[in-house]
Amino acid sequence: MKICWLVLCAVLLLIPPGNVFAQQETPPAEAASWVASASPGPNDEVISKKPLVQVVLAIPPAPQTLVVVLDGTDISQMVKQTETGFTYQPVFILPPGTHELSISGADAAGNPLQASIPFKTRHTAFLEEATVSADMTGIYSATLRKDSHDGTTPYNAVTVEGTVQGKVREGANELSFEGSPVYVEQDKPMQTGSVEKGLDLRSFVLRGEHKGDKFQGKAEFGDVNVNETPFTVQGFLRRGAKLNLAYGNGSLSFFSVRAPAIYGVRHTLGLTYEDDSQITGGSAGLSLPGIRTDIRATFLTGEDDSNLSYGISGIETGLRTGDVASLRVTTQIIPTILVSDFEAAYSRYDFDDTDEFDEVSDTAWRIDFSGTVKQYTYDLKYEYVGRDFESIAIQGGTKDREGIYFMGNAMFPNHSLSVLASAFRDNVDRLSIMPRTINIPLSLDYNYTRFAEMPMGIAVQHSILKTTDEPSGFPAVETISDTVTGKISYIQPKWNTGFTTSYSYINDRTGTDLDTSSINYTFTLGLTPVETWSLSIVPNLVQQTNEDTDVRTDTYTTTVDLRSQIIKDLIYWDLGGSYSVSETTDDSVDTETTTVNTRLACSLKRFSPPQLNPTIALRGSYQKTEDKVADTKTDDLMIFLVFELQAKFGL
Amino acid sequence: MMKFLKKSHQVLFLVMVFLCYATAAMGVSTSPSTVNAAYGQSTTVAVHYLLPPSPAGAAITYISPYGKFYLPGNLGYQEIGSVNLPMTPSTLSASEVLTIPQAVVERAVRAGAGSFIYVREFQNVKDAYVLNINIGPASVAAFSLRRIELYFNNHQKKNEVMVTRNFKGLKAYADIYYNGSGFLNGYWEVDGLIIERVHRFVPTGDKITLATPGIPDLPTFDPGYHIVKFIVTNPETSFEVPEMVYWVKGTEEPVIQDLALLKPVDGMDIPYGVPFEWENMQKASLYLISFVKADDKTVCFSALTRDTSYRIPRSVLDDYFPLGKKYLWSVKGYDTENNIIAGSGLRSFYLKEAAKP
Repeated sequence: MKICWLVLCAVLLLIPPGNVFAQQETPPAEAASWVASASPGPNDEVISKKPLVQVVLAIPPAPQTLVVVLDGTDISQMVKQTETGFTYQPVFILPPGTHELSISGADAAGNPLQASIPFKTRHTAFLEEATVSADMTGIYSATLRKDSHDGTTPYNAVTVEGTVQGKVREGANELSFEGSPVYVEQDKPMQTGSVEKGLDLRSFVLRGEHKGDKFQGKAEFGDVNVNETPFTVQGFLRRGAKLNLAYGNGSLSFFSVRAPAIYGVRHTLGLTYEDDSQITGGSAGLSLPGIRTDIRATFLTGEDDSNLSYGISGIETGLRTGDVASLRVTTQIIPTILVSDFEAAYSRYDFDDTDEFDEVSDTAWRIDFSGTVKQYTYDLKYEYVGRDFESIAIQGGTKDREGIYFMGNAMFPNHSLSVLASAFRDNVDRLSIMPRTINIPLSLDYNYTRFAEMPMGIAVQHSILKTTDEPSGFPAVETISDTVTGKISYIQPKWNTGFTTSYSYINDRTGTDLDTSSINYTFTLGLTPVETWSLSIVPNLVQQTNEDTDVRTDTYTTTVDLRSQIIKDLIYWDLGGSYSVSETTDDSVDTETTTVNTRLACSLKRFSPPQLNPTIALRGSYQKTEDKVADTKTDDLMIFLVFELQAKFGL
Repeated sequence: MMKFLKKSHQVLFLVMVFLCYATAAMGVSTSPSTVNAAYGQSTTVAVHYLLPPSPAGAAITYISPYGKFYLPGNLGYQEIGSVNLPMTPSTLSASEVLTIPQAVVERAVRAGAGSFIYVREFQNVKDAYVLNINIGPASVAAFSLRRIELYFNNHQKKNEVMVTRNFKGLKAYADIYYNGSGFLNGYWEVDGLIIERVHRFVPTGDKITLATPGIPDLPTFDPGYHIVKFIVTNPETSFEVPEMVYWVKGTEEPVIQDLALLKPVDGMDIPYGVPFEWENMQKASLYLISFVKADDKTVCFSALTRDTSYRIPRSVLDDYFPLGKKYLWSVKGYDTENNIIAGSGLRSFYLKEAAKP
């Protein structure tokens, strides 16, 4: 890993400095003739984020004729006209770099006058751009009442958390940083899944970038997102390092990240190579614009011994090891109308390195045609994934399947329609000890949007699942499932309502005849009578019936969300609540749960400096559960006094 | 390593299994009695045991220290795995969430078997309980979850996020990988509060992505950190559900009000000199009107003004507005601290040469 660091640092150091352009020394002729003097002057470079613009004109423009345009924005109404010209104090920060001030008007005789003043700005003398900003919120809470003694809810707690961002840029080179510092102190142990006590950095990323005309490079350390191909790794946000290089039509990428998701840096920055828990790989790409084709080869290898990482949990527990290689070719056969995407991959994977089995290898490939023609889009794919194909970076993904998939969308002014149809089968190696399954899912989604205030739609899903070639003793499976969903809304500026219902029926067509049905009703009501009040109420009822036993389970839930300012910008009252009842017709289940979280706050912002936003609040949490079958009941009320202080600054 | 039972134990075991099958017919069996396990994946299944009452109502302790997987073969029953999960039921019914590991299925497959059994014995119960397990593709395996991944941002898949107070539109997502098909029941929970119940049939397909609803939003009224979970009630899982955290800042989410555009109406052919007008916003001290090329959606010109109308100056027409093309326009309103407080939608217009008098 140290070598990896050295390589990345070396690359950063070798990034060439930004391009230097010769500056125009002579002001434009018209500027020289009409503009007597200007600050900044033509081709001047000023160090400021909002430089004061002062222009003295040799000929005063006739009234109502002066037009001043800065970088394509008409600022004529924002300038302050003087006897000899005008001044302008920029309203927004000017981005560093080249700017152009264009001035036009007419003299008293109606002859046109025109001038243009190019100038440059930079944030500091050393760096073209330098910004840093922080937005931190500190919260102190004291428990006023606590019914339950769960051992984790603290009597006193301090939490400070926020974001810090910074960026420096000179020419084509840029260095940026984002981090989320957090500080927690409390008189009880922290809950599972939260950060530890003390100071920590929940997440961070340090990024170095070069954006040259031909050469581009980007190095990232921290929480990086790895994206390669569908068979190798996609949307993989993990702690580690990543390097992307591009020169002309070629590109290279390297990455080395921790297999589990981690947060905080107290125990580890996550930047060292960790045996049994690291995924490393890279890719090389070539773009062939002449034939509108991109080719990318990817390889990654890694090990993972985690079974519960932050935000992820799964059933597999052993030490998984594996590597995968892929070749992907994407071609714009007819740009936007017909695009092909082909990928072939080979993997070796061991689902548990400690057992008696060695790794197994297998292949996968897919060919995908997609495109857009007017209001129609389509995607047609054939995919084969071998029985033992698996990428260490996409655990739990699809395998042992081949099939064809179609997706089509049509967007009309008043309608939209999407169709999904696929047919696939598994047991691709035709193992005789188990059956082969054929699966045909179909779905159709139609929306009618002619009345903007009353959108409505219907969706139908139909799925067939059937086994063939069942070995002796394996019960045949034949299931047909249907789901119909209807939805309608009515939207007004101050209120909206909606109703959604869906009905599902699972038809078991084998001798066991274990049919199941479910019906779901959801009603939504949102009210915003005034700017400072909003309320939403969502009742929902689900009835699930086992058609074999005729036992029905009813689950009724209502959620409430209230946001209000009792006194505008001073007193806030917010509430979130849910009420849920579950019961079965055979009386085996009868539970009731009520939860309310609320906050009554007083903003002290008007009494504090503009950078600070203090608030004092009462926070309450109430939960009541009752199990009528087990004859148990719990009531739990917690009330906290909270002081919040939010601070924001930027340079 | 695979182990074979000693000869004497094999005989005893054969007798025991025979008794199991025999007693199963008399009602001593697991519920369900047969399940399908996925090839190439681990499978979880809830197994229920109905224990016999004690004779004459005597107090009996039922203890089962472990369960074992056996593969029937020509030489007898071969143990291919075990579950060291003690059960000490206090009533006459007992349940366990059994994980059939991928390795156990692999051992059976490599031995050429398409099925095997799971046996659990209880102390003070004469007969062993036997669960028959068939090996099949994941699509017809018992409906069970293999993995849950939570994240916030649908593109970057971030599993921690920071938002302003009263932020609207924060959504949590769950990628759920599963075997088989069936009704997935569960609920989204934030700090113990149910946000939405999920009851839906998930067809064969390996993976489904769930998202929290638009109404109600994830609660963002309380500054501090909040824990999001997706709790699964069916099928039963053998692993702990994951959770993730979002942090609500003390900073208030700016309320951006709708700003109505007045003239010209959408899609008009307008000559040069026609004013663009919009409604007055009470707190707006500054407006930014932006003109966008309809073909490439790039901003071609804009203007800052304190009025509620704007005319394109003649002197900029040639540089920024080629005649006869389609343009879009929109307006934003800013307060005295230059925060956006209002925004309009887009309207289109075609700019034509002014009619000559």
